[in-house]
Amino acid sequence: MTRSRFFFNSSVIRQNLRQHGWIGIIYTLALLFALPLQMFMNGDPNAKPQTVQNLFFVGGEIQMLFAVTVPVAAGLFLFRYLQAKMPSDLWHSLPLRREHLLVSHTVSGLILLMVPIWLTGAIAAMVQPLDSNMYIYTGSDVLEWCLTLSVLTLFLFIFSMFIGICTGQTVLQGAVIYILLLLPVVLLQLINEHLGMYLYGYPRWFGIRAHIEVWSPILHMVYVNTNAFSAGDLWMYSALSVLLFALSVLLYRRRHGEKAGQAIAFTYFNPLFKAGVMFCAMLISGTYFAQLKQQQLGWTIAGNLAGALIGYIAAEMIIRKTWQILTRRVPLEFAGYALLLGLLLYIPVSGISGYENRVPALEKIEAVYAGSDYAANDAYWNTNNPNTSKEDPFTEDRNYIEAVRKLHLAVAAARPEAPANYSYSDYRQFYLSYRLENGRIVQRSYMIPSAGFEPELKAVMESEGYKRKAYRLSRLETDTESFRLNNYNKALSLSDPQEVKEFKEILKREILNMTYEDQNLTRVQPSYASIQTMGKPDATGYQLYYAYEWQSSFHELGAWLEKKGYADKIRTKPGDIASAEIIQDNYNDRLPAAERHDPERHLELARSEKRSAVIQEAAPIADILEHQRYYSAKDGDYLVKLVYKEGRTDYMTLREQDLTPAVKAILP
Amino acid sequence: MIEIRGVSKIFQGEKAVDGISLTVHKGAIYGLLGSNGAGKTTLLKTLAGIYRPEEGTVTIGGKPVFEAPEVKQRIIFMPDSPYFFPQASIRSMAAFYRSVYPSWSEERFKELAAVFRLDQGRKLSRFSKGMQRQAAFWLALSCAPEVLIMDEPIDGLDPVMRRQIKNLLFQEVAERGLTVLISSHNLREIEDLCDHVGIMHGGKMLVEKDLDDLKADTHKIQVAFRDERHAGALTAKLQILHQEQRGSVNLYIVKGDRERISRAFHVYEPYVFDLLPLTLEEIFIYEMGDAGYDAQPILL
Repeated sequence: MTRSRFFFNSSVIRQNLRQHGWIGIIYTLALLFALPLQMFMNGDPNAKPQTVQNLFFVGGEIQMLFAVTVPVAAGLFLFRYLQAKMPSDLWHSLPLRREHLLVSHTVSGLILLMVPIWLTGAIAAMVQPLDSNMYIYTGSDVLEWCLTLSVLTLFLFIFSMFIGICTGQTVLQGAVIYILLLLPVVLLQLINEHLGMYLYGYPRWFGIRAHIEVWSPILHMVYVNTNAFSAGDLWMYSALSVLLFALSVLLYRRRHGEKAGQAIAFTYFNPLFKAGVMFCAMLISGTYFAQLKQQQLGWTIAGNLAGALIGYIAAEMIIRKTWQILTRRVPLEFAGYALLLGLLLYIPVSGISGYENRVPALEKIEAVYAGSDYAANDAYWNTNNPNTSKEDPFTEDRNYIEAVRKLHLAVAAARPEAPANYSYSDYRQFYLSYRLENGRIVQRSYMIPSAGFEPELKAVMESEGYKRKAYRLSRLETDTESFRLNNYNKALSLSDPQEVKEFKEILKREILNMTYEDQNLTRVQPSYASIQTMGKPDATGYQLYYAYEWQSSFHELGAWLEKKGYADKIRTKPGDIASAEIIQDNYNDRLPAAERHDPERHLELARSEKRSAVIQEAAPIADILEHQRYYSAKDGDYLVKLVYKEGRTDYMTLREQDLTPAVKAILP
Repeated sequence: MIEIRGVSKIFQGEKAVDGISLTVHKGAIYGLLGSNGAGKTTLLKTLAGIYRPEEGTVTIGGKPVFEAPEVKQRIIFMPDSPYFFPQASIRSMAAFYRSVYPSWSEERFKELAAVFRLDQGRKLSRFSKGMQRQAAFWLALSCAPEVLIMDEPIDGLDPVMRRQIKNLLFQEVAERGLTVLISSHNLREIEDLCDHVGIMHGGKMLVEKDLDDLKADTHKIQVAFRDERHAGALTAKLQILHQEQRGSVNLYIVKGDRERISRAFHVYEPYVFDLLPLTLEEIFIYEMGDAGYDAQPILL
């Protein structure tokens, strides 16, 4: 008697294990290699066993290489019977309901995948007490590893099955699985680029910092070392597996047996497939051409159209399984799709939403952040690094909120754009974020030029709220045990508690007293020395440190260091300089673009024309050190090459107004 | 009893089977004829519960087939090219069928080992096509089905094995009341096997006949009349499907009782009178010619 009262059929499972057993063997060998074996693989015979946060730290990449491929392969092989005509006919002619077939194949696959995981876990647990094991872990670590990998494997296998039900070709099934598993990340990135390009003020986020990998199961798995799966993630993947399984059962009931060999098993997925492929192709091609051609309208439209055309043709070829797709219907259908998708891309950036002009009303704002490094407040966003303190980047001071809002209003009205070759000293990247009363966060990002926005910038940048966040005063206030001052090969430590306390107070006061002009100066003028805070080491020996600068405007700090006799030990003195060479730079036009930023080429040209002066006198050198700016190759400025006695050379710039009589006297 | 009522099956917008109705009685051997692409395979797969029809119903013993294990347990479908699980041998396939088909007869399986002298432990993929076909028959008959659906089953069998299998089928039909459906593109191949024949073309059923009736009922007559006017007089009396004149000899295909026809002709005392049995092929050519089809390309 067949056991149809169960939801699976044991003979089907037996048959599957006989046919696909090799998958289980390969997975077992792979996992044994990737986990227990790696515990004993260490080139350094003297290395001490190390504690791990979880077992994915042991060869995590190798583990994940197998974990992202084998479950999908199992899905492809076990559900091959749906995609090939002859197996499909055989299986579907048997006196078994489709639910039984599906459940039986799923159970077969899970046996093939789960046994290796738990077997590997058991072996990892058994070798745990061995002396030559290079890692220290507990039984619960092993259990956690098994559970995590089981859930991820389950999800990938079920997902693979679900796509198998929806498609009719194994090759396409495999391609679609990986495309869909990566798609959320790629799509988010493309949309981010698209909005960033056309939406004025859109705060583009960058790279892995935004933890975008969590949107793709396989990327998350690859980055498991840096971003472990939380219990919440595992629950989500379990729930998704259940949902996808239920959907598979429902769709399988409706699936036609003759779809074996067709691209898409359900015709009502065809428009979705076509639109999806076209949308992605449009985003890629449109963004590519727009970036390459500085968003010229013609190129942008042409790029999007080309993408739409390629996407349409590709999708149509896959669906119809032929490259000869041209029929009378095609141009009309293409036009329809392209128009709709074009609108879908255009409407969000068209200004209809009012995004670009929207500045929240003052009474709705609860707190605000303004600064150049919103993402770097990673303490707030990067919740995975336990070593960074969780500082809220927002400030609730009403005057500050008002100042930021005024700056935002001015920028949104004037819409300044930074040219491609803008100078670092003329533009500031500003992230403006509001936390509203209703909990929502409104974020914008602008390149704001100093010119034309001085009053607004001054109001913002001289606020205590701005400086506290921009210079991270909270880090200075908490757990600083000592300071270390550095200036190339000069270094100095402050560790006397009284001195540390005084220094900390003065540094804080100096930062809070910086004017708008002082802060602008820091962008063009090198500091006298860098100041590093040294915190108390934590249990693992990890020591937090932050860097501040001894700016030329810090007169009180300078006087204190002078008084203590530290200033001479740390600042660059004219006596440190062996020689200085000065030229007036007018050579940009005569140099090829690639060499314009090489100061030595400018100097060579000047020397060849005998327009360079080399000096060793202390007085002008002292003036040069006092007024030096970062090197920038601008015509009319003066380029100075400083050769230190220690052998180091340094290039800097002086402007006309920086020239003291002593320096003017030595000009060639 | 197999009942197919108004079944249509659409593949990518084209009707592969178009409104077909068909009844096959228990213990009948039904031959489904038609050229390539006529829709035979589609109809058989729909009948086997592999395909779900877009329109119409397929029932066996009054119950719908699709997704009904209790009905499908009684059916075996043999595809046009035999397929077995990869790596499988006859023994492992038998074990699988044994666990899936409750009617599996171990006794029958052992009996048939004498007929099909195949190595049970050898991998089926190493067998020749004809041997695979034999293995498929062996397994199918061992399941002791009530309905056996075979798509182009004779291909690749040697004449001796063909004979053997025909005998086996006759035996099953006689002893157990097995109902058989066979498709073929070649009438001569199944002529001596079927008692009912249906001809499909372009997804439609053109003709459906009981062969015994047909053979008893349709006759070819070669006759040379004494007077040409006799011919005209005869056509009024008999049901003539087809007639043509070759010189002085007239050729008639006539439906009706042999004796009555013979008597009708002898009234005119023709010089020559020959009453011949028709081959099936001829019957269909004439029948379909009547229906307005050029039967030659459909049948051969």
